[in-house]
Amino acid sequence: MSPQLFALLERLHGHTAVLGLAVLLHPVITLARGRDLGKGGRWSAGLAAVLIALPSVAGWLLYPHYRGQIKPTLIAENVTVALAFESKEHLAFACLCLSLSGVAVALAAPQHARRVALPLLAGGWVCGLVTGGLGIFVASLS
Amino acid sequence: MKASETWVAALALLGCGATASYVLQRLIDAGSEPPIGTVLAQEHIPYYWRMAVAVLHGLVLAALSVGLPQRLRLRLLHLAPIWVGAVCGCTVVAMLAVP
Repeated sequence: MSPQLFALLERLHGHTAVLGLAVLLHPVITLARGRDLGKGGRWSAGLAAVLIALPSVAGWLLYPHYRGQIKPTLIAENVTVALAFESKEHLAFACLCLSLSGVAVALAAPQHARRVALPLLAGGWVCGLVTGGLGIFVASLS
Repeated sequence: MKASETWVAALALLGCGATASYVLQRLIDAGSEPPIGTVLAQEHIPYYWRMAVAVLHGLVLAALSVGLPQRLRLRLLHLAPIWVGAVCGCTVVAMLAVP
């Protein structure tokens, strides 16, 4: 992977993830208030799923390059950052699984069963928030 | 109504099952792997394998949930905030404690 493509994917990865988390907050708050999602909320949920899936795919594409080129240096220079990066990857997968299943429930389930989407979306959001925090920590020190 | 609850339970178990499977796999791996920095290269990337197996486990769990009795499925959905919250909380704590 060329350095230019790596830098582009890296920025896409971080920025779309933050955007996805922000959009995911809309259905979480709507459902937490006991309201139906409505048309706007359903669009938000769908958009959040796309914006959370995209950085995951970008991250999977970046991972071999990170593992081969960056991780060994990072471990040698700052092992705390390397470990934080590993935690970030684990929690990102949890965020993806919980968010996508939550969005699927929110979009596909009938109204009476839609409340099940709230813990899934909220759980995904919490995992995403911790992931984002770790991402900012890693980016600021590496 | 039955079909919709079946799908909702299956989707919820797919997401939570895959998450829990990933965490458990990681914790098991952490118990046997060498310290970070001592391995220079590996033929396979465990991260990809772990995700693939986790999704597979989630799918199996979702498929098994279809066979659950309706009463149990309703109870499962009713208690969703508790078990989903537990999976999420344990995931965050475990993955921060065991990178």
